[in-house]
Amino acid sequence: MKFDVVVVGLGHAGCEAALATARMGLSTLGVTLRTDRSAVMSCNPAIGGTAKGHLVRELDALGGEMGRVADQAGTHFKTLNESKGPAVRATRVLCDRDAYAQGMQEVLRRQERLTLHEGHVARLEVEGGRVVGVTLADGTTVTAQAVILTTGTFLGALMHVGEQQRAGGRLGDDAAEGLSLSLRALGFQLARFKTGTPPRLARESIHYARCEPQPGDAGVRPFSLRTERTRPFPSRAQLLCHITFTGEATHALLRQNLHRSPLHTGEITGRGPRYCPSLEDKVVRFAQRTRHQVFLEPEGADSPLVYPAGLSTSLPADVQEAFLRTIPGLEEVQVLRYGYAVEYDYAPPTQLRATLETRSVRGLYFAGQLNGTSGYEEAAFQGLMAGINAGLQLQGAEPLILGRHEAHGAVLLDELVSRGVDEPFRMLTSRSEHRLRLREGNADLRLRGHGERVGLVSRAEGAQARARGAAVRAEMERLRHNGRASRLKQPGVDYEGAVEGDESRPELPGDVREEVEVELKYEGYIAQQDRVLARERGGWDGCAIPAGTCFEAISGLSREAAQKLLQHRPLTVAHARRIPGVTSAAISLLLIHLRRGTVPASG
Amino acid sequence: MESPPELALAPTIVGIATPLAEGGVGIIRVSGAYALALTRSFVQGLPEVQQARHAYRVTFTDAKGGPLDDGLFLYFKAPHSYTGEDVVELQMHGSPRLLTLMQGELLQEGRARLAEPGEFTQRAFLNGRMDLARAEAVADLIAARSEAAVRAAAAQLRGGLSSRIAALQSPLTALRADVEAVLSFPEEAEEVEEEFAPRLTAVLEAAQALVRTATRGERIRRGARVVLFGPVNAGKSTLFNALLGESRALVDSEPGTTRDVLEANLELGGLAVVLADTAGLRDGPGRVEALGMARARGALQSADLAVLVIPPGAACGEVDLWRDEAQGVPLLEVHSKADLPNEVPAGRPPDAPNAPARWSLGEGGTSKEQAPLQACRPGQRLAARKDADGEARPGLPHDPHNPPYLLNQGEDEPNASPERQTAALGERALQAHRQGPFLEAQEDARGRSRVAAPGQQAVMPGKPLFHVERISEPLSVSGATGSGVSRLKERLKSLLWGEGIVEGVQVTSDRHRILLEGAVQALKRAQLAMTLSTLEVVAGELAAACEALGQITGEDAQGALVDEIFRRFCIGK
Repeated sequence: MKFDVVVVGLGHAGCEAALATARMGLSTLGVTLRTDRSAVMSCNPAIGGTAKGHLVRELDALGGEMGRVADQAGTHFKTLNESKGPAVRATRVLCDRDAYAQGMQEVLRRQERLTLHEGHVARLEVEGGRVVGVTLADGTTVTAQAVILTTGTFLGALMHVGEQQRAGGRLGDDAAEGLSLSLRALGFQLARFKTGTPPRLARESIHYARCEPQPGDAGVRPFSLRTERTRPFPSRAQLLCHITFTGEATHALLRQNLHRSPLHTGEITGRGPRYCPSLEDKVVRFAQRTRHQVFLEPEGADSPLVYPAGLSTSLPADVQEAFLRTIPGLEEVQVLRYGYAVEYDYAPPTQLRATLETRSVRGLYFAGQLNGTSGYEEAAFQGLMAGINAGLQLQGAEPLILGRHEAHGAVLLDELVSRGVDEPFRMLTSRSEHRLRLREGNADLRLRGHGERVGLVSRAEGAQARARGAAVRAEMERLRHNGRASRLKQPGVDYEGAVEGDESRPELPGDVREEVEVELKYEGYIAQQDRVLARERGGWDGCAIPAGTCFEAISGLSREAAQKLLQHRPLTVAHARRIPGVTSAAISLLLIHLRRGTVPASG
Repeated sequence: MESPPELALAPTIVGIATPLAEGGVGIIRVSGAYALALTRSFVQGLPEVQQARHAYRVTFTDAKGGPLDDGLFLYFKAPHSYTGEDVVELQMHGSPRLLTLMQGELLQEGRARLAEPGEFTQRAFLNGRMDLARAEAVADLIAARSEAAVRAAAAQLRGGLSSRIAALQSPLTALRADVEAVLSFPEEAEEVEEEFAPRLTAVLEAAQALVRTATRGERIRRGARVVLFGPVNAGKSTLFNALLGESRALVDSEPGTTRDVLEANLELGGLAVVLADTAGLRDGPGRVEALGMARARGALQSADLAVLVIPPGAACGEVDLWRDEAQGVPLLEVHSKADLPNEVPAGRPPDAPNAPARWSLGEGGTSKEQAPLQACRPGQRLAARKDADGEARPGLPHDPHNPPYLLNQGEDEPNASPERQTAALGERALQAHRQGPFLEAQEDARGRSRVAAPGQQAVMPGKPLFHVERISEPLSVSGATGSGVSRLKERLKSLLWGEGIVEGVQVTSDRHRILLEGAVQALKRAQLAMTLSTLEVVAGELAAACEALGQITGEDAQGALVDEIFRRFCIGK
């Protein structure tokens, strides 16, 4: 078989990568263990949330697919942080789990130039430092100019349910075995992480009357700019979520059974995410808390399953059942699937370039959970960027490397490749020093131009964003001119208040008025932030480190610092400063050598 | 391939670690791989094997074995040394000539080179032996101009600043973590939001308190500038000389003698002061004098404290005009007492002036009603006679709730020389000063007890705030430093650095002060945003404050934040 691009794995990263390269005109093969399991939401049935909602809108503006599919599958829409500011305001959509996967699979099937293949990639084929294809377990060889690996938790995957272990990346699926060996043979480092998922409960067995209902919000804007505005939105029947709490009895039971948890017995050695700890973890680490919140999320209108968010666990089945029944509303709960933990190989992402191409093998890209991240949205954004950059490379075009001031997604990629990860990496808005300007509401203004340039956003869609941007600027200018801008900047004054009695006020759509209000209100803060940033950087960014610098030869540099520098190969001093393990002493030493022009070159 | 040990290739360096001045002990420090091998050949009396961190009494010799001096030999083995390399310290007598000679001997063979300024500290920093704040403190210590600067730098060196910053950082990072948790995990982070405002206020106040020490610290490090000014022939130069205890300024009774700005270094209670004497300010001076006066005004503008010297018979209106010259620079007024009998005590230098030799201190920036002038009119005596039973009675109406504080008078030997007595009185004044508002009883050479005025505290709205204090007792300033001058020095000291012994001053570097002030500004904006804007704006300002503090200690604020969020919250799906 012969393709331009092979995408290995069709989870959230793989789907975006495959769609991107196919849409950029490249023949693409998507290889997955089971095509009917593509785009499955392995854990919680929701898309979005703080920072994650931002990623989805950014992905959508660049021409990705996740937002549109989530809009169609959404059964419960919520705007988080409504009152805490427009930059942290975020959309979270609970999806019908099956509808999401089916919706994405439908898009994949209909995509021109994209071929789906069920199979098991056993080996990467590399010649002269460049990837030339893959070999499948059945011996089939596929030649390709670019390979995008998006294997998620499936590399060397081991599932733990209590004392039982079983190879597999997800309940009901196999692990991808041979590929780890192939990657190690190519010189890639792999490390272990673990993650977990809660049990799934039978909807009928829950006493909802003992729980607090949590309806969705009305009037939430769809994720995607391409979700049709003519049809009623949301298109699906909306469902109700419920909140309940664990209690002292739950915690006591967990404590009694800690010795049976693989996390505590040392069976699991990989590091898990701190923001998504298992319930037994939480009981140990936050011993003073008398209760923990549990969200009961229906997995779909017709689904018999309920996902209890907050109850991730890998304790044995009997303990799971017992502790669940101490929770109000779950006294008679039936468990349909038990919670489990998964340990898997990830490839420390400092082995990647900013384009997500590996440093050592040309044409080979890594994206998604393989890079040590966590979350569907983080995975999808990486998949899209890997797809775009693989496509651009094959087209002979400049890569697309977004600036940290342009997108949370850019912050995500930059943190991964320049700092690396020491636990499964989740995007947080606080990771961005430009948070105030990276809003869900202006993702199109920030990124549609890039999407258009790479060919994933149509000219008409690009023009739409440009027109909105122009309307926003024109109105801001008009308000500045007539002095109403300063009125708008006052606390408690919104756009409507500022233009009250304004005869020459133009008819503007709501998303333009909103944007004008936020831009004007935040103008001063953003300028202030920029000044601070400019001062802090003090020229660090401009201070380039010549490629091929021989860090080992800088006298006085500690071995650890030299190794870190060697591993990350920073291009600027600013980048070097962000590498963990590179001390300020090492930086001053580097600066001294750079200033004197005595940086040794390897050769 | 194994890389060589850190700095193994760095040359061994030699330097004189103590100031090149006559002193008790002088230290030559040698750092580097050859430190021990090199120094061993210049000492006698060393055992075969040297124990690290052990002092050996040895004889230092030149290359030929000729003895130079006796002293101590100390060896610090890498990495447990100041620089992190092998270090040898040769402690000998503090003679500049001797130290230079010894250093020259060590350098002669070419096995070591002369250390560049700050190179020992630089190596210590590069070898991870100290953080940035400490390294800067060492640099300050080396450049320290006075005892208090040494103390401040030493405190910083012990980690004083780092621990004060850390004490600020931990509640700030905790607050920021809570704010960020509310923003990032709105459904999980419950019940923390309401305490944000008071917690922010507490952090801001703590940061402001630290910044306040920065101004003091800054003055300690570079020395404070005190400028004497006033009308012509008010006796500024006499006072200048009296404060210095030496005759630096040309003093003459001819008005306008001082045409330029004279500067001298003075140590006040261990603090460095640059004292400047200026040309008298008056109308219609000659060209040269006009130039001097322009410089005097320039000097005033850069002063930390201006001392207005008021001659006898000055009218209130006139004094007001001089006060205006200070233009907001903190002001202390000193009244000369020229019309008192010209008693010139013994020990007065021959070139001392015959003109004003008596002074009183007045409050700066007072209103006319306050009238320190009237109260201090020349010749007005505010003294209490000592009763037969030895009790002093103040001659001034005083606050009945604040009775006169009497120093243990009459302790001095009646026959002691005036010099000795005044010195003792100066010491008492210092003591009394540390004890707060007081009446100072003095015993003069003739055994009479005098009481100086109470140190009332008055705060005038809209004017620079100073303690009102008057010494109405005529004071002799010529010759050996009189008690009046001691009092003046004490006033200067407390106005410049505040009350109390100047220690515990933490912030002495410009970089630290600027970063701290940046943090305070950000916290103030955060406070404003708390009521006027959104939580995300508050969060941004808290981030800026954390970043600024992190730059002082060299910590990674972002990494610390993420750790803190997860430490404080249990967040999960």
